[in-house]
Amino acid sequence: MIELLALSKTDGWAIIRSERGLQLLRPPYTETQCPMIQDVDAARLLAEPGFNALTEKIVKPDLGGIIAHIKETTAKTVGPEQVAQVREAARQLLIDAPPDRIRHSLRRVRTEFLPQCQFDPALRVLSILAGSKAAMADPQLQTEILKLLEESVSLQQQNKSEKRKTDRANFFKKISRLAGFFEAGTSRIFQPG
Amino acid sequence: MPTSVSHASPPPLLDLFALAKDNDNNVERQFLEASAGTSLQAEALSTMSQQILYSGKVTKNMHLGVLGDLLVNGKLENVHAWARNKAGSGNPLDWLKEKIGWAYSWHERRMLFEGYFVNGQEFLYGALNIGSLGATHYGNVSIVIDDVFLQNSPVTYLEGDSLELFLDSNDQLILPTLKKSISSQTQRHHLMAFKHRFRLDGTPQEDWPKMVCSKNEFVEVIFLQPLERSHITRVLIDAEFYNRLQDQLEAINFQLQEEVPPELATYVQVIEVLKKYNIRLETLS
Repeated sequence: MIELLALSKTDGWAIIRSERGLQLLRPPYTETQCPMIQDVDAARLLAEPGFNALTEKIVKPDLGGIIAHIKETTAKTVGPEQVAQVREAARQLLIDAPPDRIRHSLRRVRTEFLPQCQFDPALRVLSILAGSKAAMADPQLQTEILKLLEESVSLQQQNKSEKRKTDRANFFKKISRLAGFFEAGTSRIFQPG
Repeated sequence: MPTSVSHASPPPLLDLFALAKDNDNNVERQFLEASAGTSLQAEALSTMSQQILYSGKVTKNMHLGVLGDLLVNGKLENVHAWARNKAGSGNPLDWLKEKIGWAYSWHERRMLFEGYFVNGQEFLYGALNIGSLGATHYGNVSIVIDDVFLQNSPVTYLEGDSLELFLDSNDQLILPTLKKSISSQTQRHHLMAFKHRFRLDGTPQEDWPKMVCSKNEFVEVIFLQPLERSHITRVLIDAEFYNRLQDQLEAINFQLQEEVPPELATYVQVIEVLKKYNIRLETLS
């Protein structure tokens, strides 16, 4: 059993007690982010603003349960204004990104998003990248972005029309199956005795 | 039958900052003696003291939430000020006990140390640093405190962790040791260099920053609260941590994150305030 002893809601730092002893738990909650600490370290951490010992007892059978509890508790602290601020910062990050970072994003679009037909995020990122400072300063990079943007739009349309075809085919298949069932049923009902 | 009770008055509080100034001559003399001559050790000692004098900074490790709090509210106060504000006319100790929970008895040792000094409950702690990330257990960001603020404020440099070095197992202050192991702002470079005099020879110069300031090894710095946002000249951030946050932020554009983790929200808030107040963010490995 693992007990959650303390939590800092603004950044997800936590202190737990397990069979191994006292541990500090930090996002992204991997093995390297869970060092063993002493009580005296805990006292120092808890003297900092926002890091508080818990007044209720939270015990979970494993670390996964503790992490899920931390994530659930801390997620509530992020309000809509903060979410909007993060989204804007994320957009700005792409606007200010250096050329190598932009090429990295282009590669992700090409190799991850388009093959998985995730067109909306791909198009959004490409539209931001097209207006980025690096693209404005480098016509070759801008051409690369616009080409991929065009390719994405065309793939999206192609995907839509294929989806429409498949949907239509599925619809007729369903109808004909229903018609067959109906025909068989009615013939049974009206079968002369 | 009533017993007679002796009302011995408590010992007068000590002025830590005055004690530090009183020891400055001693720190300088020790250093000059050790660095006299032409041995490699003497040469290294001089090099280190120059490095501390010209690039040494006082830093304070904290986790992102604390930095966010400091930047947004404009000042950092210690836990005693927090408890006093919370308690109003009540007992601040009740608030401290609830905040620190099971670890309160460990915090009491800190309070005992502070209780020996004038303004002890106003103490803030940092470390003297020549370019490392410091004690990352206490936080993977570190603020660099303005030299001008430190030159104009009471400040004391202590050879190491005050609780380990200057409180005995009965929680009594080891005053003779304390008096010999501290300095003011003017002798900080000699205090730190002298402390490491036997390790300089065998350690390459590029490893000195981590040698003198890490979780287990530091020159502690005590100054008085509040620490204000305007006293921060730079913020150091662990490069790996920074890259992870930047990747998370970029992923928001791709909508891979459905929710915004609080750490990322705090990070963005921190970045915005740093930009607004023109405070530089530097990555360190």
